Amino acid sequence: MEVDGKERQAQGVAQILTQLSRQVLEKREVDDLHAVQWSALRYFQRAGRRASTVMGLSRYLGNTTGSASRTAKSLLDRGLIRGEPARHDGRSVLFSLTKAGQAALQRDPLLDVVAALSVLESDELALLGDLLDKVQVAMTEARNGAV
Amino acid sequence: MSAILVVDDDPAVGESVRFVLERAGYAATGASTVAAAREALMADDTALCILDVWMDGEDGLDFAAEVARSGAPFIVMSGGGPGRSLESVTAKADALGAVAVLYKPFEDEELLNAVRATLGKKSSEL
Repeated sequence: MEVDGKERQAQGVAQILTQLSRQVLEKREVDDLHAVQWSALRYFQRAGRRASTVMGLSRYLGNTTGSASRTAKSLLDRGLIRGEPARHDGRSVLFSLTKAGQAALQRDPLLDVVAALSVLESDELALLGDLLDKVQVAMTEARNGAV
Repeated sequence: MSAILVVDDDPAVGESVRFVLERAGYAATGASTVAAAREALMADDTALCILDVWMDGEDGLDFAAEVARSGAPFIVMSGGGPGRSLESVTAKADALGAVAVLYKPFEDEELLNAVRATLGKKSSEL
């Protein structure tokens, strides 16, 4: 199939992105966490006490509360987070990282990419972030439109 | 004196954030639209901008990029919204150089810790 110059460029960049993703994923061990579980752990590391709920996780991941609840339960079952009833709302459970959860984040596969990116200057990082964000937004819109 | 610019299209949220800041000794001003915030950013010596992401029909992250280019530090606050996940917002905010991302609902102390980490404790230092 003939491709024009711009499409070939797009294919080249797409290959770089997928190769990068593969490098990150190849590091996974058999019993390691799935991508969504890593995202959830990162959320509970950064979220304040009142936002550390299934509802907050659902907003963060952009999925349903049922799906977020299953992700939180999988982390609870692994002992990476703990839950306690919220004082302001007895129906809510507030999650926080356990020591095992904090230790797990020390081997977050994201950290390898962070280290590789740290060779870039601040304005280069901002530009790269902006470009990648545009790609992600376009892909999300295309996939949502295709459903 | 330079002040903290609080940008949120929900007047109640903007007002309560400013109240917390002022009670802690910081000078704060507010804007409820990106246009008003842009005007304030250009007119005043903004020490720090605290902005919401989902503004009535406007993208707070686009404004965050403007704030970043102005050299003023900024904190993003968000509880999620349509179009993109909070995870995606966090990534973009981090990449733009946000000093903190606060997930709603947050406690006063979380807000003040993020502000203190950026500006120090006293408004007289602004």
